Amino acid sequence: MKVLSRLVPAVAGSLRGVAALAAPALAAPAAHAGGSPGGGAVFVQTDNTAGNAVVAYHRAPDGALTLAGTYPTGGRGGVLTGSVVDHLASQGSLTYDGEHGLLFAVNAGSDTVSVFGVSGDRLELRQVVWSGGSSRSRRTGRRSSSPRR
Amino acid sequence: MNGNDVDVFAVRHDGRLSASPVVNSEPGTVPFAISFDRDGHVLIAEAGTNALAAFALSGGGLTQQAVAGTGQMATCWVAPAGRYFYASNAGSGSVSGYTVSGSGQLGALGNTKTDAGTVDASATHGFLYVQTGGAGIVDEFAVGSGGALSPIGSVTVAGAVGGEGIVAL
Repeated sequence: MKVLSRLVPAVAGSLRGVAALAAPALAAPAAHAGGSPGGGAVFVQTDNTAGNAVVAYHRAPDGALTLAGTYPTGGRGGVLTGSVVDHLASQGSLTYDGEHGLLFAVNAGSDTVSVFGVSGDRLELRQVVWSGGSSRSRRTGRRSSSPRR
Repeated sequence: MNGNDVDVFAVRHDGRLSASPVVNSEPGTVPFAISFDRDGHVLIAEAGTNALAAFALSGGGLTQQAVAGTGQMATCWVAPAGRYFYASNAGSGSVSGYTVSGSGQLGALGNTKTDAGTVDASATHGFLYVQTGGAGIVDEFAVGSGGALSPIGSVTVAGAVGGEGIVAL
């Protein structure tokens, strides 16, 4: 439900000024099962319109990051009209599901969500699903993309 | 449904949302991003007033407990880091730290400079990673006792100017 509460505003894309949340999502912030005090990973979404990607960094015990890999999402980033530094105007556009060890990335330019399996600082693209959204930059007319495996 | 509402949906066991939300109107605040504390308070970054607001949630209804202006520009995001919360100020290139008491009162920890265009942030194991959209840089901070942030360094993410979405594990 945490995932839903964050994905809803992100997928909708242009809901500037509207916050949506899920009522029972009262628990403490999601457990970050993937890391430990001894190190972990940080994943960053590029939201690049030429091809969205998640860039993976190794997190050292002292908190410093080093590049570990770049993983295309199979979709495109989007740019909200008028935005400069915040192309999605959304929080949580990249969201971790600690219960299942999955990372969800929003492809705002192609109205899809990419699902990655997480293993340490490595990712494996599992699925790309249609979000139900309708971004201005979506021009392909496809209603769904095929699962990658 | 355009602006200044916080919509609260129930979540069913199968993950579906209730057909219609409880709509909480917050005129003029431009509620932008949401987080939750361990006592169930809802923390909302308000871009219209450049503030962080704390609410109690009951039956889908929000009751404001406290609001604290950041004194910064474009306060849009809020991320938890243990018992502290950091609001990102996109227009000022900074984050504003807060504590939340058991009754939902906010305590200000001050502002910390970041690179330009502060957006989403994520924390884990005593570190806060702040995404900045001006040049696509992630700033690394250690969260000290009392919530003070100490810079560690930064990385520039290739092809990520204006990008949003960060998860720290």
